[in-house]
Amino acid sequence: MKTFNLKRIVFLLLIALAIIFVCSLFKDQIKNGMQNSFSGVKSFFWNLTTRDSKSCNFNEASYDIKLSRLSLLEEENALLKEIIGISLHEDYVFEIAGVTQKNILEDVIAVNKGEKDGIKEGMPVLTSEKALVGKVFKTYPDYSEILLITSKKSVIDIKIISEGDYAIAKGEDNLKIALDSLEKKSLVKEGDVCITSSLGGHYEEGLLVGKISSITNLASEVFKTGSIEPFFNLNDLDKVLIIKNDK
Amino acid sequence: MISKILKIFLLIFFWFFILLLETSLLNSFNLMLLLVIIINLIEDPESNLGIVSAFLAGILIDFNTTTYEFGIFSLSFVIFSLSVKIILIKFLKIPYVSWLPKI
Repeated sequence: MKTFNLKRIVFLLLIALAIIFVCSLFKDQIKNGMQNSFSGVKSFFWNLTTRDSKSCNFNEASYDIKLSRLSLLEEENALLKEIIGISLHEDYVFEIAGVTQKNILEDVIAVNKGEKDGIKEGMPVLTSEKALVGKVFKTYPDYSEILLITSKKSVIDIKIISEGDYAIAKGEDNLKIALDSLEKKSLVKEGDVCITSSLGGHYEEGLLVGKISSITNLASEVFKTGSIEPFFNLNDLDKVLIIKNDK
Repeated sequence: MISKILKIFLLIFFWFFILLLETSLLNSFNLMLLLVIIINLIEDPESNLGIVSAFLAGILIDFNTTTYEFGIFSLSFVIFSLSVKIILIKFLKIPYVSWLPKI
């Protein structure tokens, strides 16, 4: 027991605390440097895991995207008939970014575009099929961190296309999303597609969120709950679009 | 002393490579945590390799997480490593691997 007496333990802990304190002062610079130096290697490793052929889930997603667009176009048309002269369709300004890594123990991914490319915190991030991935959580000069919609910190107001009902999609980590606050009288069923609603004010309306995979209707609960399967698949995600001109 | 510093530098490169693998290749598998546990269990309890490894792995995880407080992983890994060592020295004698480098 010569190595680990109380004095040595306290000494080791103090050294660890001192290093942590110094590192925390330069955390952002070190993170940016680490990411910038090994961006190429990280992209190489990441691309090894992304699939070349898109999955069946992806094809289903494409179909659902068309369906949601059609539904939105119908709504837009109806509104345009009422309000003449106001253009509802606004083209987005995108920044294409490559995914380099997924953070350990949290649903956060890093992309190779940062403050130097005009990326700001809060910008929505989509797949090339306009399925919502998340939003920019933190920016660094050379890279940004994206909080996935499956993260526990993510709460989104959603609209279910088939019934037009509103609910909340709460991230649960590990790439899962819970459906919450769905009215008891709602006739929503499994397989229905969810899009973002403008109610929350965080996202533009009409971005694809996911498909309802299960619904639970407990008598003890005030609302119906369930789970949503997100449209993006981390294994297919090599490039994302960051909307720069969102509200 | 020089060989000790060299060993620590090699260890930093080793953990950095594991971090690259874990964040880019193994998205849903915590290899770093697993390695820290294994090293601490199989090394000579009198060696410092486990503690240094735990600290390096922890601080690299801290640099690669955003939603957690900075330092939480490095501190908890070091405390875990110290606890394992105290248990292995005082209460539980298990055979250790002799070929692991000592710091």
